[in-house]
Amino acid sequence: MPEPGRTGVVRLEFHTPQGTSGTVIAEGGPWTAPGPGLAERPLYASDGSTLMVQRAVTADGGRIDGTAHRMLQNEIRAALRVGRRHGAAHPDCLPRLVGYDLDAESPYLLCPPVAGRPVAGLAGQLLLGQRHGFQTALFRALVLLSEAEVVHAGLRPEVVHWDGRQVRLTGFGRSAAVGESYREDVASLWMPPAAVRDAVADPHDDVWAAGLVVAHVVTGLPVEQLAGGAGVPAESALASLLDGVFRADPRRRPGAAQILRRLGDQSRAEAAALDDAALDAGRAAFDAERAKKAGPPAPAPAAEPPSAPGDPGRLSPALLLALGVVLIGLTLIGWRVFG
Amino acid sequence: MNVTPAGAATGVVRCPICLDVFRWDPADDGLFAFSEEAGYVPLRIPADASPEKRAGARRLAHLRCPNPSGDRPAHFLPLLYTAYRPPIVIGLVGASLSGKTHLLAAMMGEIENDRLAAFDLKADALDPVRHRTFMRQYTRPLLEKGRRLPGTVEGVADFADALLISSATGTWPVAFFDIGGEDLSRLRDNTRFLNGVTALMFVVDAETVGAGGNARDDTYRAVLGMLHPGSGHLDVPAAVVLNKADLIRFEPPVDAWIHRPPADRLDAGTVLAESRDVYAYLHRAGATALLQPYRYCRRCTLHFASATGARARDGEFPHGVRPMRVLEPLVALLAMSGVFGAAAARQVGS
Repeated sequence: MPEPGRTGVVRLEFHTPQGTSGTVIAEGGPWTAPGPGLAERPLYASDGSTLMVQRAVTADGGRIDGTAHRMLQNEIRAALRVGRRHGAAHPDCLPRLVGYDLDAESPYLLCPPVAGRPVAGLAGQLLLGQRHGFQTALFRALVLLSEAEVVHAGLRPEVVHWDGRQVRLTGFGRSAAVGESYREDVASLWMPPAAVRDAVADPHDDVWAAGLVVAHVVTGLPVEQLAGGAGVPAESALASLLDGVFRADPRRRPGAAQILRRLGDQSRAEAAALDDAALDAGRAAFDAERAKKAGPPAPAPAAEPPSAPGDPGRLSPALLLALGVVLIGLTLIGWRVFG
Repeated sequence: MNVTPAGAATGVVRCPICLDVFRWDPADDGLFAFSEEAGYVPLRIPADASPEKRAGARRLAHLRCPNPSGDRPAHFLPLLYTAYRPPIVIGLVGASLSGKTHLLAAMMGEIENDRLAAFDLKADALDPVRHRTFMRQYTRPLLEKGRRLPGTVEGVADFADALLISSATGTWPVAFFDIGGEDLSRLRDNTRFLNGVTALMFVVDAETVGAGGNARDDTYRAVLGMLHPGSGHLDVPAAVVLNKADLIRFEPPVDAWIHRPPADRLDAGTVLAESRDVYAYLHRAGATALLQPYRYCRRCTLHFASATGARARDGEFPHGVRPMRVLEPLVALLAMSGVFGAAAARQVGS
């Protein structure tokens, strides 16, 4: 059923994650502002169901906000990385992309609607069994995310959705690839103090933030009272679960897979590296071409190893001398015989 | 600034336009001043001019190439071109629409914003009038007004712009030749400058790579074949720039490079790693013909870059222009040319 404020039928042409072109014709819902420089609206099918969500950078007199544009790109990049890593087994808990167009008048992405609701409204309300399910789903999502070599860098209760069974992570505008520098302002009460713009993106920063989200949901305490895990009751099950999560040095924090094991979930191993056999073949071809240009390898060291006994390819100097004497002797004998 | 002849002792200059070598008289005679209104007019420096006034006049002066072989129309060189070390002459090579002019314009814009300072390099205009003209015609319309530039004008035989680049080890005149793709692929007469280039920048249009497989660029074969027809390797530093990389910014391994903040120092290891990834990307796409520069040039680097950061619509970049990694290829060429010292010249591109 159409709602007030709908923007009429829209036709959008976009790039798909597979590199092809796609088109959608749908009825546009009302725009909302999820953040500075950004706008978002649902796109409805003719039967009134929500097909997908369009998130766009708003253009002000043709000019767009550079930060909002980068954040949109970060969201696209994160979803594409997840898609490349997990392929047909794309996990529902991680962002999925329908398409994007960065060259449109208002650059945008299209994604499926997110099920569930932000856990910001569930703090202190989950039952014991629900807590365990939520914690397991959250850290499993982080394991899957780190397998795609993506750091969310903005986890907080508003971007973690929960439908009673599944977690869905959203809000990837500040995300970065593992090992590169954070390009956005990632500092927040939910992130480790050392995680700031230009710091190296580390999946263990997400573990810290997820630890705070879990503590917030379980205890109902505001983040200000949970800083560095301070508000987590000592010797509680929560304290055991989050042991080491708030260490200053990210290398000393447990990984998401380790937290999962503490929850009794062995389903995911530690993150595996992304690989691409065709790219590896290209890199090997580069190495071969480079070696060819560098010329032949350096000559072997001057000192020769001793000949192996019975080596037919090598004759010792003593043997050569003996052979020489025999040869001269035979020559002299022959000269006497035939001379 | 005291302007003295190249290699001061000899006063011998090789003109980058006609390639003739001539001896230059360092006296004040035979100099020209240039203005956009009057063109080149003889420069008279009064005999009683103060040393400061003389130096100022010579800083902007030109000399007329005598073109001893008499095979080119009259042409002039900035006096500063002759005043330092042997110049670095960079030829941009690539098909029409590969984005050579956009790349050069974006590069000049980044240099104007002092982005070479991160590499401890300083850049000044070699010929201020010519530099102003280039900025007015190309860089400002692109970067400030978001306008798509017209293709390179065919038939031009002069360098597009030139800089004086200084490092801790010295100062080098650096001239950029941007010649039309058709001229290059047919090796027309105005490509004679290629015989005098000391560095090559091959520009690949990312949009053509992987579009139908077997991407190629006829200018590469023509230029490499002319400069080095036999076997062995060409001893001219080369950089291959996979331009318009914004169009493939989310593809691996492009996404690992193009989103990086600009480099803040020269790091031979990083240059090698990026070269390896660009090579692998082109190799995977079956664009082996575009890898010719790496195969045939002894020292060669490969780079992901985008002059504009976006695709033009109706001749404009409506969201503005955001150059991505456009200085890295130039810095690599400068390193291979010795601007960062002998050690860096050995390490980069080898």
